[in-house]
Amino acid sequence: MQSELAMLLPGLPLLGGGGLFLAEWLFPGRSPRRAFLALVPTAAAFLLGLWFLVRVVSSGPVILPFPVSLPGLSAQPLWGVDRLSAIMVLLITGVSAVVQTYSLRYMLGESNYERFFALIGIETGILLLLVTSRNLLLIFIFWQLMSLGLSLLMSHNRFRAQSVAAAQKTFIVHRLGDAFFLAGLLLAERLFHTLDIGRMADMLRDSPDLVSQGSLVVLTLCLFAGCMAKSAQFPLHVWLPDTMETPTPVSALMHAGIVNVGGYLMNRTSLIFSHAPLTMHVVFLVGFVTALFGSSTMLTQSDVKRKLGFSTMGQMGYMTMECGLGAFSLAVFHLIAHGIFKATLFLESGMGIHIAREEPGLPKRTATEPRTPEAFRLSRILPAAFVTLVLPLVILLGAHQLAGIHLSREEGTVVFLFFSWVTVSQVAISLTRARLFDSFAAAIPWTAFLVFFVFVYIKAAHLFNLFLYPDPAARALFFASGGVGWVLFTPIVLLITALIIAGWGVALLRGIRGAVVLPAWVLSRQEALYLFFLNRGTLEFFVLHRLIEPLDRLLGRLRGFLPGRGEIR
Amino acid sequence: MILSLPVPVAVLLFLPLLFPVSRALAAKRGKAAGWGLSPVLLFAFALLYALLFQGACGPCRTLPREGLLLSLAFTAALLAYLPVIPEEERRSPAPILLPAVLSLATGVFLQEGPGRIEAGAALLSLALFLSALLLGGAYPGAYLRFFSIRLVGAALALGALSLEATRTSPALLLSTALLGIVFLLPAPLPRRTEKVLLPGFLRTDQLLFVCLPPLVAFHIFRGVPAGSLSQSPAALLLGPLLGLSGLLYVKIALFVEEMADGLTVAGTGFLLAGLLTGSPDGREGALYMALLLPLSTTLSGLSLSFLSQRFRARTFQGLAGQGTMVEPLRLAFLFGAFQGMSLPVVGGFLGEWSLLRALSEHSFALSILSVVGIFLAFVLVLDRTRSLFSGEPFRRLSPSDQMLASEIRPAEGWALGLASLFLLGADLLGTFGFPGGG
Repeated sequence: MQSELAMLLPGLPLLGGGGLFLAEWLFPGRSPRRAFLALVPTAAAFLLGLWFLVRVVSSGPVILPFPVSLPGLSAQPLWGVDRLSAIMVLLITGVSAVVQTYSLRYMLGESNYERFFALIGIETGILLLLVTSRNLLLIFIFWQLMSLGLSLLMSHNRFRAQSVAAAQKTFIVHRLGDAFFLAGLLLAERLFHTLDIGRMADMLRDSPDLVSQGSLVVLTLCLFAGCMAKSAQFPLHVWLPDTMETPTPVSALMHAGIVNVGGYLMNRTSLIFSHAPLTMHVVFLVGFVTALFGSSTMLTQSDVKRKLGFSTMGQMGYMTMECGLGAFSLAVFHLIAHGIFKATLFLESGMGIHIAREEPGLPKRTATEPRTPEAFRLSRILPAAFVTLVLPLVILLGAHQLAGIHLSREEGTVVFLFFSWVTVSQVAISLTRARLFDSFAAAIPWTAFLVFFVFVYIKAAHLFNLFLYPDPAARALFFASGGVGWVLFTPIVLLITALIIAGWGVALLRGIRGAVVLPAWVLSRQEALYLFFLNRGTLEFFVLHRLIEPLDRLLGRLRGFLPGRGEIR
Repeated sequence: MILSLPVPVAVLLFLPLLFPVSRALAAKRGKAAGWGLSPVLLFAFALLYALLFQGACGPCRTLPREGLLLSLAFTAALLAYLPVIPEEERRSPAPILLPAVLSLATGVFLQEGPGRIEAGAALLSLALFLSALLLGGAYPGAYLRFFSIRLVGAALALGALSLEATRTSPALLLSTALLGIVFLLPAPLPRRTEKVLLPGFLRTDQLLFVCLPPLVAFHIFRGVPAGSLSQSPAALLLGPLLGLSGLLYVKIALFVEEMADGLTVAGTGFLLAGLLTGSPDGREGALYMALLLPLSTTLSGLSLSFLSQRFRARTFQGLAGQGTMVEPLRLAFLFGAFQGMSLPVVGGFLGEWSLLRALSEHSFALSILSVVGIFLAFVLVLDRTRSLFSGEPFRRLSPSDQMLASEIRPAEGWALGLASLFLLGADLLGTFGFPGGG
């Protein structure tokens, strides 16, 4: 009986959302109280999710028959809650509950107030069904329904052309990914005669030569293409920046919850991905390009929400890189952390924008000329530079000795440590700018705090890895298939380290000698590069003006062969 | 042909013919549209009863289940169209013509046995030819002359199919059947002159020449043995080609009605591809497509027709954004359009999945081509939906006109309600399968 309660996880938000739809239809009106019809069930699902997490950890996964019988989906198990599902349930319901609470006041002036909450409730339910499905076809069904729900949420104000256009673009890109996913399903059906993920993984484990490496690579690449569209990976990221046209709570839900499903699917199918090393390398490369492109473009944008959007893209790139390295659990850890902080940032930004619009004194009109930069002092920079360069050593040694992570076996973890280092470096730069790193004496407590924070994070990530994938054989398989071997990996690590140190060096010298450190040919390309990222890589321009428009013109000529050309009305 | 059916069933076929009488009586007494529809409604219930209680009902036992489903789909589409045949178009032969075609089509769909099925299809093509002549007479200049020739060609090709000699040669059988189907389809070969714009004509035209052909296409292959279908890869390729040409037609469409034409062609291509695999999965998926296509065309076609009538425009450009103001039409169109997008649950995704699976087993490349087609159909339908039903309206109306435009008349409500109900039924059938299995 207790297991059957799992049905309430997606059932509660679905019932809440559906009930609110019905209430709005039967008794039209606008009341924040009615929005609680969707909010309370979502919060209840969060609490139930907590209970299930404890249960799953203590007694193993909960497997249930799918409540509805569908043709082509007879093979069990179709549905259940395991550790990964339980974690995702908590993330989704938590973010959704926060977003709904925030929207109670934020959306009060908007049209279709109650329908908005109803849609969020239903979308949450669909997401929960997705993360608790164990069959690829079932996942695909909810995967598509999620796109539909997202599109409806994005075009909440259907009179606003930009919102509707953004919703359309998002839906099209998602469906492009879905087309690959569907092709992957057809191939999986041909190869394995089942779409049950667990069974497929067992078949591969028992007889690795059951499927040729080429077919497996194609299959996993198709699945990955589906993930790419949802998780805004380059070049299927084009929908993400436009989603800023939607209400801020939708942006928050999307950036904190929906974009994560790509990472979720890669984790869910990790035992299949890990049998295709070539795909793992492609995954890493795509993640790398996405992270680079997203982070660089973020730096050039002036719109707050757009900046956050590209930041999400960069983070999703990191997450995908981690998957490509076999660090699947770290990707989940990353997406949870990212989901929480990005939701906070979006909701804060929405409030900030709202205040800026309403408050007549903002933006401050008394702003004078920009301040002239202060004279450069080496003593100001040195503590930060020193700390930043020493930190990686401390982090690496600490991770090895204190957290007990075997770095020689886990390349993915090393990359994660790199990520920690870069993040901490960024914090160090910010602290320097805020004049909190002016001297070594001031820098020490901050450094101690940062080191402590990083260790807690690394230790938590390591424990999370053991929690999510308790089977050492599975972990070893992941890292083995994602790794490139230490012969190749070591020079890459050294090269990147050198690049980062060189970057610091350039920044330092630039501070001392002005902006003439870099050679002229590099400086001359800076502006072009800036414009390239400012225009989001001109990818959309190329697709629209060089591909779609000429094709439209060509097809338009065909119209001349059909009757009715003169009677247009 | 009718004589081969059990007597009660043959008698039942005459029931829809009472529609003109019941309609006149209902109009005279000022009754609601439902009263006028009662003979066709009764007919639909009788078909449904035969389908659900086939084992318990003596005369129904020998009736083919697929035939019953095809008949029911056409009856459902007709039921949605009948309430909105405008009274003022007195010249229109639709009130007599449409029930007559329904009776004939049901009689044909309920046939069994090689030769008889194909002969029935030829008879239906001939009936369509006569309908085109009648409509052409009532609305002069409405059709191109080539269209009539096309329909005669279809009747001849399908008539040839009923000959033993044609059926024994697989290549001849396939080419003749496909030729007949291509001639019957509403596009890409031209049909109308676009000179007659009366809503009654356009709706009758849509029901006869857009909704019926996919049902006939499936019916033709009901009699063809599965083994002889999977022989020719070239024939198998024709399905996707037809599908892509239909999508191209949607892409270059100027008038709103052309979208339904193109999507029907695309869907029929997909349906044929599944049927020609000769596998049970392919047949099941094809049947589902055959049922879904006329019903989704009916719902989205009627929504667009009502919209055109309100704003006196027929092009996508002229109707841009106008649908935003009429919420019920928007919802009805979205529900109909979602079918064309192959989304799960609303589009009965699992029915299409079985079709794709059958294609994949037969030829993986072909299944990939179909996936591409599904994606393109989605993009096109979404784009059209956005242009018509969101954003700023192309023309603003005064508040009083706006109020009038956003009101749904009772007959329109009946039509949209019935179409949505039947479409939902088809969706549930595709998703959860037939009650009692199968």
